[in-house]
Amino acid sequence: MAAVKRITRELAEFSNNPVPGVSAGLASESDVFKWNVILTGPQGSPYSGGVFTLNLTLPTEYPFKPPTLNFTTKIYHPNVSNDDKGSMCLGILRSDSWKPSCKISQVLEMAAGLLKEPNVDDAVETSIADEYKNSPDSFEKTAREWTRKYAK
Amino acid sequence: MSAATNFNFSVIVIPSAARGAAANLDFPTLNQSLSFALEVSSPSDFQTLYSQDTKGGNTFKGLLYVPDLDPTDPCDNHDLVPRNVTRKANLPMDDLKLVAYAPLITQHCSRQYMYSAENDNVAAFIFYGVPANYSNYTDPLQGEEYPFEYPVYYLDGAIGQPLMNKLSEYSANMSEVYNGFNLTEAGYDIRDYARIYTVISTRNTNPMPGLWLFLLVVVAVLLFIIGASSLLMHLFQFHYRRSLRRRIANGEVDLEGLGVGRITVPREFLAKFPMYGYVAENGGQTTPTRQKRDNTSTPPKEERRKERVKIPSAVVVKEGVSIVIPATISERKSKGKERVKEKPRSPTDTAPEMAEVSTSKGIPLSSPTSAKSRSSPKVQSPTTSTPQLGTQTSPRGYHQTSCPICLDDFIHQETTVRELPCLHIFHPECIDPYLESQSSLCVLCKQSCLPKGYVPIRLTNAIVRRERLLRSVRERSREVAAASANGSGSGEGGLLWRWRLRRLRRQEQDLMGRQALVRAGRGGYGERGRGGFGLGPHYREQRVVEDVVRPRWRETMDRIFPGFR
Repeated sequence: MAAVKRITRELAEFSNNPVPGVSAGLASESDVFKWNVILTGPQGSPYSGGVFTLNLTLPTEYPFKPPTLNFTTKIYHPNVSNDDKGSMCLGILRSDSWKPSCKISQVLEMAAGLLKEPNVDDAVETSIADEYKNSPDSFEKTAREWTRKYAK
Repeated sequence: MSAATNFNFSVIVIPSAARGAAANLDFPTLNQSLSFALEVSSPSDFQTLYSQDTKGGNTFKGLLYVPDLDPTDPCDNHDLVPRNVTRKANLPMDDLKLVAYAPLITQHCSRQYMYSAENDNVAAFIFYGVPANYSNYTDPLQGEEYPFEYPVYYLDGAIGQPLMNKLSEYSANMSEVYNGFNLTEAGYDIRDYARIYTVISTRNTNPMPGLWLFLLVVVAVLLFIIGASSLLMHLFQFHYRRSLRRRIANGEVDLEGLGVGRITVPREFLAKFPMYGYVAENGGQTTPTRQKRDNTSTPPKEERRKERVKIPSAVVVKEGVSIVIPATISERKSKGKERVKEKPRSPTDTAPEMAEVSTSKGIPLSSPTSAKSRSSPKVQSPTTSTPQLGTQTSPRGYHQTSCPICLDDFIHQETTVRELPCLHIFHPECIDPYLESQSSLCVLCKQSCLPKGYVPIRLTNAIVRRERLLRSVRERSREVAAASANGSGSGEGGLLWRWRLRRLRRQEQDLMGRQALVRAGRGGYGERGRGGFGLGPHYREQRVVEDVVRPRWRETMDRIFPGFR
């Protein structure tokens, strides 16, 4: 199976050459399509000090279809839906802009980057995005509070 | 019920020799000046008492006769019915059609007559009013069902009684009938029969009233309008379909964006895409390189694989001159990747760049001679008939050093690659199944791999409608974007705009229903300020779940009015 081959390869590549601030591994040894990802909040961001766990789900059609990223840790972020799914909105993860040449490590890098700097143009939570744009102080406060509350 | 309009009594001559074929009573009438004829057509002189015939327009024909009654029956009134009146026995044949004739005396007697007539070959029954009780004639079977098939008429007594008397004059043979002497003198055979022949014409009493006629006209006009508009719509739809087909053929339409389900590349097209041995961009351009490598103890395959990364950039030998290109592997690799990420719109974007690169290095990327000499049968795919060309053109594409699908590096002159029309290359085993079953777009640049002019779908009216609507919505969103960019900030737009959006949404559902596709995931149009409507790609996430049934009337409506939605 081509997908499994590629995913295994990517997993090996990732463990050899990990992205800073990101650790990832298979959720269970038997299923390469489900990864557990742990993001550590970058210094200088309201998320610093927080540890965020995510589920990375790869479709069986991978790499033709994009993986999905879901935060299992609650996070106050314009690009993460504020529901029990916690789905992360990444531009490259949309099926129309997804490219098979995109690697999981790049996706995770991007995700880590979003913690440092949210992308308001691509926001799922428009109210948070507005807050981020218009009153960054209150946004930072809430984000910090949530990080303390949920991501310790 | 059809009423009588006309009673015609005349005398016909039935030859004594006529048998069998005479049943249709096609006999000549007796010379009118020597006999009698009676026409009753004034509506006040007769009445239709009963008729099963509903259509009207029929005629009932037969020889006039008086049905036999039991001799002891008191109804056999010889004051009214003369003894020598035409009875059944006086008729030449048994199988002739008859019209029964009797006075309307009492209800009982009328019934006796009718039952008697039923045994005969009767086409109709005519009663006439007896002068004595002329004013209060009674319906012969008043209040009862008529068990008879023949129609029953009533004739005014002032006409009926003389006719009865006339009937008695035409019961014997030719010499004894009225004016018999003159008739035989006139040459009529004495053995022939002269009998009274009756023709009753009817018309429908239920002609179409004015209201019905009016309604009919209204319905006809409506039907005409429906038909005309249907025809017009069909014409328009035909025109639209044709123009859409033309635009698809010209490659002006983004088929995947239409959301018409999965569009894949047929195998026969796939087989036409060039497949050739991968040639690293600058490495192994010329045969000398090969020879050189061959001379210097060809390393085993495993070793070569390790070394392969050096081959592309390390040394290029052209006519014995070797030039070392300073680019390192890692640089090259990342460069290639970047370029892939840039999502080049078309090969022409990168072609000048490539040319520049090659000229700056002073090395022609490829020359026909070198290409020819380079082509080794080992790496050529047997499926492509023009592999030389393919090999030669490959480097003008993108700097792809690895297959974007499996991420494996291509091995110089070893890996067979498939080149799509957009010049991106892949392992055939990676890209072929995808194009055959998932999509017709290149996974890197999303450019269609289908040949120009090829229309891969059946163009239905729904697709045509959808395309038109999508186009208008896109134009509109462009306008809005332009307007807001100008700072005028026209806002959300008018009613028409909203209506179009709603229609688009509904159409989407409809189309899905028709295609039996149910979208697996969430997502819709115009997701959060993406400007345009990214309808297309979502459809690739559809999967067939069940056939959504459209009501039949809607199908029919669609067929009649293809333009409506």
